[in-house]
Amino acid sequence: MKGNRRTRTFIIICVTVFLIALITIAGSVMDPESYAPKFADKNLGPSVSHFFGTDWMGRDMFCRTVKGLSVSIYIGLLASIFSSVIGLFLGTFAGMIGGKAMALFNWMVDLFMGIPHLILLILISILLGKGARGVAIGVILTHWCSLGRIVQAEILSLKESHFVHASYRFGHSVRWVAIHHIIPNVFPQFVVGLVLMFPHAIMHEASITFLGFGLPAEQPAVGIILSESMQYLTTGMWWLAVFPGVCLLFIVVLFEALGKNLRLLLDPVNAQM
Amino acid sequence: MYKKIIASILKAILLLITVSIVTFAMVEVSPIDAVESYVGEAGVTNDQRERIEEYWGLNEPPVTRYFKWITNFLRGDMGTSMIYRKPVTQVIGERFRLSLALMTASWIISGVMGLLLGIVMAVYRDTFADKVIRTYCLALESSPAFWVGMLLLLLFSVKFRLLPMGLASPVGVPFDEATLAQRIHHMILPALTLGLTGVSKITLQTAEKMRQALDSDYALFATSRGEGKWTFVIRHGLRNIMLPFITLQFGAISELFGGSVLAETVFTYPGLGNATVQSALKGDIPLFLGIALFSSLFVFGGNLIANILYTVADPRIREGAVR
Amino acid sequence: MEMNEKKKTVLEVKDLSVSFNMYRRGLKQVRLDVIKKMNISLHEGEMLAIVGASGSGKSILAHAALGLLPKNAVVGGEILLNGEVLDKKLRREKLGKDLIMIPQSLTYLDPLMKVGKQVRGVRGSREKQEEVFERYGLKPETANLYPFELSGGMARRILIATAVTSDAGVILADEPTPGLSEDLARETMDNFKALTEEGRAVLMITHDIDLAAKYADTIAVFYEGEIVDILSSEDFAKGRDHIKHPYTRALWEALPQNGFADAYHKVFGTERQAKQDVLIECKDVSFGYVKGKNILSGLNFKIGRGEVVGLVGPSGLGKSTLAKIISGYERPDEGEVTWKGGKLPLKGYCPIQMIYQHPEKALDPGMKISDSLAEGYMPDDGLLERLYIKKDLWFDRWPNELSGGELQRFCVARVLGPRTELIIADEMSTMLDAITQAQIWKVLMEEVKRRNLGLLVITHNMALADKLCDRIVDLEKLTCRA
Repeated sequence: MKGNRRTRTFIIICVTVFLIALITIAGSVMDPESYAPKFADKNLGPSVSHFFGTDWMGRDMFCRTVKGLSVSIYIGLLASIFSSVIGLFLGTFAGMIGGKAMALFNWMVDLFMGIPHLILLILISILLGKGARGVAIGVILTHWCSLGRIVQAEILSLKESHFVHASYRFGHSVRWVAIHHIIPNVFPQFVVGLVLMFPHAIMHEASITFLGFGLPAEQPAVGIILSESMQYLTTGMWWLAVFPGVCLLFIVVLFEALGKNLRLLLDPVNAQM
Repeated sequence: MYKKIIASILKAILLLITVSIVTFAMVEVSPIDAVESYVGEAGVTNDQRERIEEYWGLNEPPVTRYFKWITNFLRGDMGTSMIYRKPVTQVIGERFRLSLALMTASWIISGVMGLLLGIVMAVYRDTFADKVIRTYCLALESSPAFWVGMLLLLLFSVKFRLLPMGLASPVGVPFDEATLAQRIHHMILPALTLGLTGVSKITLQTAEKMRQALDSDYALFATSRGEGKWTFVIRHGLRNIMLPFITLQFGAISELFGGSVLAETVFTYPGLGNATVQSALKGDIPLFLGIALFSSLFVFGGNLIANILYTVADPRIREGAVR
Repeated sequence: MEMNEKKKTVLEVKDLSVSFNMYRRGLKQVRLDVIKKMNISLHEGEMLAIVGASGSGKSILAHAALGLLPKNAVVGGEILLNGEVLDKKLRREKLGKDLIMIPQSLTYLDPLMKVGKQVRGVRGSREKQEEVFERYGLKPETANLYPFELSGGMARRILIATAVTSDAGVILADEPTPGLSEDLARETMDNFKALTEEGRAVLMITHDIDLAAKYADTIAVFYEGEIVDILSSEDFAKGRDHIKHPYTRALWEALPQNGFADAYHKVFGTERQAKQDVLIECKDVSFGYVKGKNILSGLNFKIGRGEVVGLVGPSGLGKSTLAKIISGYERPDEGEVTWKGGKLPLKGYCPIQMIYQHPEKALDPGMKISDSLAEGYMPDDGLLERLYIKKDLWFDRWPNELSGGELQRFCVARVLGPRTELIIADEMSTMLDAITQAQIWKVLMEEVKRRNLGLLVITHNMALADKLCDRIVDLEKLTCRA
């Protein structure tokens, strides 16, 4: 409670966005040479010239990790955006129409939640022949449920709210009410939900890649890096596993901080402190 | 009340049937070639291929095969695993025994720890303890289960050599001949991985519910009558957070299952999760389908138990006063 | 006053001030002074009522005394219990023993604990609880019920019982009669009175000045964070000439049985419109409102043009459900509702408009006040002025920046569109202070009469309905419990 919370929230949002953008851009414009194999430098521990050390092929782990993170952020963002749009669309549809549409929606959510997440992801990923596309679509298809539920519940309560009733009474059409009352009230929740979906998306992407169903082995993705490092754990090359993992953790924490602070800014009344 | 219970059982059954259809259909359209995965790298002539397809009944239309599969499934015959060359039922049975021990252990770890930490967080809100636990939970929530497993492995197996690297029994000793102590020794790390990653969600939710209870009107009233914080927690708090806690704990089974797949892969623990990955990687359709449906059964079972407990335990629902 | 001086002072509030640090939309930080320099004292056997508008922060006083304020509260001054400063340590010792609170509603009871155990609390014994149950005519089996299973009357007695199991000399009661029927409110207050006769002191906090005047010995008027006036209830009852403070006098005049109703009678006299032009008619309407438990049946009534009909009954009797049925939002289980003999037009501007109990729920929190107002139509400045709406100051604000009373003025203004023919006011003024209540009723009644509109007044306040309405439908007499 120290200082002005508004300023603090605003600064946190700016810093997180900046850091995320920095990593993404750094990874995208990075010269592939910087993480290419250099057998002269293999199996080096962390040092000034190689912050995160090198692996058994002499690849610089810092550059590989940054590249891998930017790939993960891309996939995570893509998947979160599509998935939350699906959630928004289905949730709105179910909430606005109600009755049978709602029953169908709930049924679908129960169905998707009923199969363990990871198994469904594996299934979809195999179905689409693994690779980045498989992972992305898998994540998209499995993550909309909770946001969809939130949107649906919010719309249901809005629909029953007195101010919406009053608006209908003044002769406004469903469309008018949707544009003026429903959407402005659902939007903050949607944005926050989208941002908070990202951590899940990126972790599932890493997990599924780790298990061998995701991105191809030549791609410098965090899941691949960690999966490869498994074989070298016994030889004591701890840096192969620790640093990339910590970076992944860091990105996830960044997105969570972003989501929570956005919620504070957009919806201070309902935000859980 | 009985109506409610029966309705939720019926709903679970109906959902399971849908799950079976969906998974079957998805496997059906997937590019996995069952014959190829059966024969392996060797390659087959067209003649051999036809004979194998006939043997497995692969040349029949998908709908017929689905009905055959599901009726056999209900009789307890899930087909034959292609990679283990044993009936799927047997594979799942053997593997599940190992996974169940693992999951139960971690389920209890995360439940007990989550409840305690959550209550501490709520009671000592905004203090140092609250912040430490919160940071710990957020860090664990933000790290993939397999990475946590790898760190534990690095620390306890590689660095301190206290615990085994993997498997469910010492190398060269079949699981059935291993002593209980050996089995537990091998289970500690995977169970800890699962338990630790599961604990954060339960802690945060419990803290949230307990905080709501502490902020409620009845907490205000209890305080005004001279009940201290801990008296309130024990007299009123626990009974009011118990129901959400139970729901959460049983609802966590789905994630537990996913976590076990990762943990078992990291620790090469020969449980069901391990078999899931192997069957999917090698295209063992009968085994994969069997596991998918079996795991869904497990998840629905958990949710069903939560629902029933909720209905039975909450007097407001029991008496039909609420909805 | 002389009597009080002889008696021992049991609770004394000295220079108490309470303020909060709050956040508004966009995280604007606001410091809110809720109580400024409050001084009151409560004597043995006395019932003191603190009267003020809802949401004015008068409950904060009780919370301050009991040490229940949230962490963002800044407290100044002190509170003395039997001459000792009530600090953290003393509070731990005295709470529930010498100082006790009577909860306002059932939400103050643990929903999952049987009431017997709750009445006993941590300090009471089973014998004491049984004795108290007997005193309030509660059957011993009642102890085994959960709070949600209590009927309205039982709930009241149980709530009082929680205080009586202790021998506390000081009892705080915060809004003890929220939305209760006249009978139940009277019973509750009689029980309080009985407690003062045992020598206990009761500090009651309420927005209902009428109730306070009838039962309390002393009335303290709370306005804008300060006690502006303290007077004996006899003086208040004697009327205008015995009340010195202008705000208290305004309160007195605002009461339905005093100036408020006269003002409106003066304007309109007794002249009533002919009741031939029927707007809405309920024929044999039946509905169940708590699933399967309570049923209201065989309801018949009409509202004509220019007619004011009251629908009364305590809260929880389905008044709001009935409002929904009349306004066409829900269908009755049986019977029918007709609008001018036919069906209510579903499209376009609805001729039936509603004013709700909670104005903050009736205005979109994400819309500026002026936009919400313009949703219906833009009222002319004259009407706004009569409703004391400060156009320049309020139009640009968000709903959560204005008080309930201010918001309700907007809600009244916006239903008075040119195409409105019938207005349903559902507990419109329940949450408002007496002065705001009088002002908005006055404007609403003027408009209804001037434009010959129909008005359905839904309320639990019999006095209000009596003064305003041409006819009254009493739901309590129609209800049967199945």
